[in-house]
Amino acid sequence: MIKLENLEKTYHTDAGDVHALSNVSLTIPKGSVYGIVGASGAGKSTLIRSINLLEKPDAGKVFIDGENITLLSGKSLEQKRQKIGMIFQHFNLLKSKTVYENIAFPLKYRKEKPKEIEKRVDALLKLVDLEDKKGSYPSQLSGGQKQRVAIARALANDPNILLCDEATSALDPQTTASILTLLRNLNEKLGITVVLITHQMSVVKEICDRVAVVEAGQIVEEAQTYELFANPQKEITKRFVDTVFHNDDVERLLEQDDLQKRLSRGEEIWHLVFRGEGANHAYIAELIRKFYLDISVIYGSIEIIQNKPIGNLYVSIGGNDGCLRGALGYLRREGISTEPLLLKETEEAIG
Amino acid sequence: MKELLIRYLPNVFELQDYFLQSIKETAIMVLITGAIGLSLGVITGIILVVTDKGGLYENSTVHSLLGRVINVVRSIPFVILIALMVTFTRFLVGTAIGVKGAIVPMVVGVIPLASRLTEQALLETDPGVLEAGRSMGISRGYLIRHVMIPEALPGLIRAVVTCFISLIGLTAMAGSVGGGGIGSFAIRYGYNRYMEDVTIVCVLFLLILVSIIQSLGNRAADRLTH
Repeated sequence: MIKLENLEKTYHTDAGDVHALSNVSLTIPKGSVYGIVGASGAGKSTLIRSINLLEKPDAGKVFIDGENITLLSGKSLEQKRQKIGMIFQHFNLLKSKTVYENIAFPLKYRKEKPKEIEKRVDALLKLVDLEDKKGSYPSQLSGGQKQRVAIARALANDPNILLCDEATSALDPQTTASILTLLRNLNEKLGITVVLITHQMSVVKEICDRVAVVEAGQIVEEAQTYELFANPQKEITKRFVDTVFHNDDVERLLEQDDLQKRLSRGEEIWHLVFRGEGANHAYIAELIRKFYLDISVIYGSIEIIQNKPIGNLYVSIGGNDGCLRGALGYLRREGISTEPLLLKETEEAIG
Repeated sequence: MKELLIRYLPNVFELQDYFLQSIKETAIMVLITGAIGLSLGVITGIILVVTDKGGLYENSTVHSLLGRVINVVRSIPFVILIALMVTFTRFLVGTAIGVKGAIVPMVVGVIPLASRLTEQALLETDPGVLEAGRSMGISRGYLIRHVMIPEALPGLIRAVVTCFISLIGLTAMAGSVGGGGIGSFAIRYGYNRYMEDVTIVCVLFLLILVSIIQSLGNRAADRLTH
């Protein structure tokens, strides 16, 4: 378990002080895949680096399995770091060394026997599926292969924790997917705790068990991944979640669309979010039957997060006013969130 | 062959023993000052990089002090440096003239150049690689020896080559103030006694020497670049 307590970090720059971390507390459960999301400059990079103390916080404590590592320095900190692997956005491989030598590097430092090193490196190469690239230099590899080498190297010391600093941000979507699958497998097979920071919600959606949202050096929201997507509380979280559902694009399109025309026909536009079981239920058909409404779907999507669906529907609804209110009330009672995008003009508004 | 030499390079032929002797002196000066000056220069360069902001041993006092000293020494013309150092040279090696006397100011003269070139070569390495090393719990000293230097090796070789070539230039200048070597040979006979063939042969010799060093260095650097 990783526990961060009241971390503070301020950078003094020419342009003034930057509070990279202010009063950050976080608990990362053992064996989980934990995501930290935030825009660039939000402080997530400093946050992940304080877990292995590459950045020393000005104040606060970092506990790893109950041990306060902020008290460590020198050799004992180095030994602690050997049990915390880290991979990076730009891979950070040694250009002058082959794939084999890169992975063997931390083992050679620990003066392992050459036989042992060879056995270990071969096993790691197999684990990341790069046995045929043993003698290649990093410059001869693709981005995804480089990240696999970096992962193998980070695992050489048999760490309990793997920190991923924007590990897929420099990769194309397909390669990203394969690296995420690898990370997930490592987490499941080796029980290794994975902490990753990213600005891509799609990465969080794919593999994280829990997520923390960072804004201006503070953790503004923390939840189980499904909960965060289904029920975002803070404005920034909503914006991040919207990028996965493409809600932001839809709403922009709707604004440009012939909304005024729909309005003149007495229709309203509502955004409905269905969670869990609700995403499978035939609510629209039910509304049409029970409440005698005209409903047409403008846009709809379903995302599967942590094996549970979340549905987003944009519908235009026309019909009797009372029926409409009744229908919306029914949906809310069923646990479906309803958000108006465009309402009918009321008498008062016209008057 | 012999007739040709006598016909076209009469003075060089006449002075061939001196010529060979001066080549030997130049070689000795370049090798000794190269060994001492470059080692000290490379070490200074490493200190410059690791004490820099964000470096492994960040220390702004050491960094700026060292930087200033290097800049001061660099800004002194070499001929003046030789004169300036006469007392110190005499104290250190007992004489301020000849090959022995030339070596001291040459070492001092090449250190700033070597350290700046080393600094530049080392700054080319991706700081992320060092960060990765630290994240693996590897000590800073080990990182300097096994990451920083090997990663910058092609650049370092080019830096060393540049230093050797400018050392050859320095020996010629040291020669003009009594340091011996090819430079002093060319000045003494070629320039002072109007023996043009001596000057030309000296220039050709230096030209070939410099090209050989340069191409050997390039080849080594290329082979180490992956």
